[in-house]
Amino acid sequence: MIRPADAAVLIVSLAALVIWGFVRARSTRDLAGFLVAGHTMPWPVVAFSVMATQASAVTFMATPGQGYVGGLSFVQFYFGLPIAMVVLCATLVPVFQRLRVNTAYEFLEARFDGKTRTLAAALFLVQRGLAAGITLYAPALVLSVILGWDIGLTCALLGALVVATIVLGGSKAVAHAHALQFSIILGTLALTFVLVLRALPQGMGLPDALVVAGASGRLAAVDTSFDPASRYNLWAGLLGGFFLQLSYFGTDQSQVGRFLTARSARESRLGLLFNGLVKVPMQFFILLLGVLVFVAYRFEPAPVFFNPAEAAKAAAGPHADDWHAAERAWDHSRAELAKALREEHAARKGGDAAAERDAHARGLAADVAANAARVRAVIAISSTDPNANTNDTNYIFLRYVLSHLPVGMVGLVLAAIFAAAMNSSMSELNALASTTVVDVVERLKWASDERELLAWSRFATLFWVVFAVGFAQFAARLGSLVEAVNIMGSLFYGTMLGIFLTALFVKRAGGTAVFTAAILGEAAVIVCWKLTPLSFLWWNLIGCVLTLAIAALLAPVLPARKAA
Amino acid sequence: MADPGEPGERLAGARAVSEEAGATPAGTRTERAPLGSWTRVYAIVLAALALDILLLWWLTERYR
Repeated sequence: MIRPADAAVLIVSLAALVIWGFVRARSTRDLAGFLVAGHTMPWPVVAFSVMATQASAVTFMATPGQGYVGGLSFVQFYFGLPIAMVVLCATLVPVFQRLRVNTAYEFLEARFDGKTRTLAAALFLVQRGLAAGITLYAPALVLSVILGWDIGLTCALLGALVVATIVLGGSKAVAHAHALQFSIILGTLALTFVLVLRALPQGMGLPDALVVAGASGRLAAVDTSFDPASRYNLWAGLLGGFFLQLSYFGTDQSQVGRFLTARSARESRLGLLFNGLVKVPMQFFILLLGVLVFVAYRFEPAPVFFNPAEAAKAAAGPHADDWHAAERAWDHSRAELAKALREEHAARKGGDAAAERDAHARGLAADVAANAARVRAVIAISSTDPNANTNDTNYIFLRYVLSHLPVGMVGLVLAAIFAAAMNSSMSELNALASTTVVDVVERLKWASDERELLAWSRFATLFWVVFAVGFAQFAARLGSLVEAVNIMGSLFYGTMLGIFLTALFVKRAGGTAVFTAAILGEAAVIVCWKLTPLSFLWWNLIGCVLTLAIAALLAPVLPARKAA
Repeated sequence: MADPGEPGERLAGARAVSEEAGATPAGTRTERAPLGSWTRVYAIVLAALALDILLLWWLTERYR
């Protein structure tokens, strides 16, 4: 359970976040101010807002966990991002800023026709509307398990914080809150990094920790082998990652809405390029934090399974004997491992190669035994409940934080996780409201003046929050949540990017050509999803290239209408 | 016919929402690129990525 001092830090931090956003945005009275902060933001705010939007709470909790389990290889996922930022800045950003659009999809009607704009906006609303529920549910689930709170209540609390920020202050509040939230997140991570380093055994510094991590394969950051079914390698990161990131930043309104808040194309570009410059080092740093937690746990007792709810069920269920036997074997093997690692470290320092080899061999044997014990524990969990989630990656970092960090610091980390959850949700919900108002309400002329449109914006925000919280209750049945978000995004992003690239580069293509191409491209992506083993990163490339190629082929048959 | 990246005439409906009366479209202002040209800025971002990958590859090999 959370201690009173940590609860105080958490409550004060959350209140400060909402108030800060509101105070900075209290002048928001018009629609452009509500939707895109009146195009007034300087580039540092844009940069933080863009980065905060992408770094959801799942990222914040799962990335160190990913580093613990799989080492640094996940960093390759971001290799395509800087290239995507450059391409985006050179192509779409100047166009969006010159047109002063509030949503990316407005541009499509100007360039093609109403049906293409509607198709792209509909793809966005469906995909992002469902993802918004998962974005709320995933952190709420982990926080509720760790803190012992009710999951429905945690979801509702997150939803209330988000809606308070957006409805009170609109996009300007979102941008300012992002800047503060992301600073808290980065500061908290940096402080945690130092504390984890200090928790290592006496006499062991970062270089020694890297040796321990490297021996367990946790420092393999770059894999140059080419395997289309492998999720994280250099080529999937550079090619598939490039198309995923370009689609996400260039066609997803939750990101487009962030850089449209900039006061000029220059500020948008600088914000995006700053993101391109720091993203890979930042992800490396967060993964390395997970690797250090892995090393720290090699020298001290660690839970055999990090999700306390599933562990408690197994310990009290019909397979409790198997569970307890596995737990005992785990504790014994891990104690042997810690002893062997300490001796190996001492032998290395003393220059005794024979003793180092001997200790290393004993450590390997203890590690194999510990892994076997964990497999038995996981079997006990799934035997107790066949629907139990046997992946505990998201819980690793939080368990470490709660049991190792000093009073006050735990509250700050929890505030940072709430902040991260709010970051992504705020951008998503602001984008959903913008698209609903600009691409549906305004287009269908449901409002007669700006005051009514502003009222619609607030109503649309409330509607999408209620929808997201409602869908979050259903999200428990979706299985792996991170995977669900990624798959859902990759199903539509490639096609959407194809539409936008056709707009820019296939001069002769008309609305009907690109609309037909998008339908065929989307069908191909669905075939890839259902019938092939291709990793989801490649779907982005396939959807984009097919839409672009088909539109180019159809362009002579179905040309663009001549401008009057 | 519109040039690539230069959309044709905008629809009245879209304009009503997107533009404030009397606002100067920001993209039409002449803006100074940092370091003299955007190409130079793009090159720095891509060079930083290449350096990142190289360092990570070195780390992979060093602790393999």
